[in-house]
Amino acid sequence: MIDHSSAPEKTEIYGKKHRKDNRIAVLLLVPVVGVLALVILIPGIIAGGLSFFSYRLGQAPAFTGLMNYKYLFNNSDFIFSIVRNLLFVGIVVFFQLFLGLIISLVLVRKFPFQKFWVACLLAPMAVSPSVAAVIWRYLLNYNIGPVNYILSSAGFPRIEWLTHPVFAFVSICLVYIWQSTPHIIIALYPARLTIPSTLYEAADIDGANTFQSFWTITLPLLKPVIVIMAIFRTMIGFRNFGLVWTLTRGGPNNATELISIFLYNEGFRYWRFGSASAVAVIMVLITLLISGKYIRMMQNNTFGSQTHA
Amino acid sequence: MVSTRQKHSIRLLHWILLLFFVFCAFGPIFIIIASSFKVDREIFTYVPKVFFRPVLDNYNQLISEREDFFRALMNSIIVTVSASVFIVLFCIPAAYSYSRLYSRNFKWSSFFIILVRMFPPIIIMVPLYPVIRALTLNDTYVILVLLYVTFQVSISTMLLKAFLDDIPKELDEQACIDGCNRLTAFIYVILPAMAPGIIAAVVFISVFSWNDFTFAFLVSGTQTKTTPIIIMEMQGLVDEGLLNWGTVFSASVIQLVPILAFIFLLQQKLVSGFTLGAVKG
Repeated sequence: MIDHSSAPEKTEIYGKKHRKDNRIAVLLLVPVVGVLALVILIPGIIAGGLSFFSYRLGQAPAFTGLMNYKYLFNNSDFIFSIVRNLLFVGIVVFFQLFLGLIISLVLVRKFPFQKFWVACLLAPMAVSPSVAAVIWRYLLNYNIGPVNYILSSAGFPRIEWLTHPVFAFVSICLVYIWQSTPHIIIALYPARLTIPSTLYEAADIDGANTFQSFWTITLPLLKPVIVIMAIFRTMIGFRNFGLVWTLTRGGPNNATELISIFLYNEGFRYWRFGSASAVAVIMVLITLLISGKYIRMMQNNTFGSQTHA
Repeated sequence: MVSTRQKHSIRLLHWILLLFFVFCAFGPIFIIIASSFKVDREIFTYVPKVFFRPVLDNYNQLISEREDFFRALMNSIIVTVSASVFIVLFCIPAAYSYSRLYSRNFKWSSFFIILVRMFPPIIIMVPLYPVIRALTLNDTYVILVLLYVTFQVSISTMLLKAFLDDIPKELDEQACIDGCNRLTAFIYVILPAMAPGIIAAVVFISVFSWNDFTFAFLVSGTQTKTTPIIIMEMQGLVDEGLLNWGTVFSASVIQLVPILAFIFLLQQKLVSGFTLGAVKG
């Protein structure tokens, strides 16, 4: 933690107007802090409170204590949505990191038209969930989809990608990995570029092969970035709504119902805002559990370094 | 020592890997772009047609039959532009404050800015929705813009602060010596120097609001439906056999192309420098 009050050049430059600065400094933060408080913090606190009430839209809330939480933890749909979400996040984060790392390492070997290839590899992250759904509902279509066409012409049976419970889950994982791996590339590729080539030359002289230098140089030096990305992508994976909703609506038979889909159904389909709030509270707790350390890291990285310039 | 022949085969392996990944990443996007220029029966020929004469049939059909798509496109443009304007107005002062001024309140406020960013968007909609309904703000541009700005202010403030930190403070001081006060120094000296940062912040919020599905799905109605929502509805019609795949492909391509253009223009920036981009969710 860097203590702001001990940043010397601050006080040197603007020292005399210190008191006035303080007021302006706070005033300039008002729009950002205000909008965040109004739209996120206060509703967040209200949701925390509502989770102890039975509340349907249009009716007066009635205090019910821990009823909503009891209801949720006795609800197998909810438990399964958590388990499913854990599985989903485990699978997608692993493959994102794995593929993102391989792609970053391949890209380091500079190719002609490098910029073009990089842009192609990053393109999926620019696709809106509903457009991604159009693309993949076509590609994975049982009758007319190119994927099944390739499978059947290679002698394999056609697969019910989006209508069979197991394959629907596989499909949402696949599409999600497709869409989010670029986020890993934009973190790992630049990080790999900053590793000085002299390290590899030295390892080469010492007789290390490619795999040895990967294990002893590349991986340890990229580890901090990989860890941050793993935490961050886990957090993001827990809140995915748009892609799964547009692809499968949580079906078939709840096979792809993640927590966010469960929350949507609870709140916006059955109008049970009390128990939906309880789901929200549980989601926030899970998020904070995952990202607690990450928040501190971000604060130090972006706001802590006041010693610039 | 690695022989030349080995070097060649390693190089070949790199090319194979690269092309394989490019095929997986960009292939799906390329297929719908290409298919949007095919007539419908060619999209579904049993053996996929690789060479075809591009036609604008799907686009013509979209224009003549789906004016609601273009209304949604207009809505998306209105919302995206407004959100960009507000993000710049909100975040520049905050970023300037964090980078150039001092206050004891920085510690908790920066923690707060990062902390609230961790709240999953959809959960905020649970307590917010009854309020939005009560204020009859649902199905208005105001609420969409407010939500988009709120969920991007953290990242934009951090981004702009990082850009400001890279502008030497001597520049401010020089301007002060030359007779500028804090405000004129900011307008004439700092603002032009931080233009790339502002562009980056605008790109981020544009991509976010242009592509957003969740918020628009929950609060937009018939009046403010955005492009991702109408595309989802069109997809539903395709499933029921009421609309051609070609039409929804052409709609998707129109939605996709501006963002794709950003990626191709800015890929260098994306992978060099704004590591903060990685933080965008």
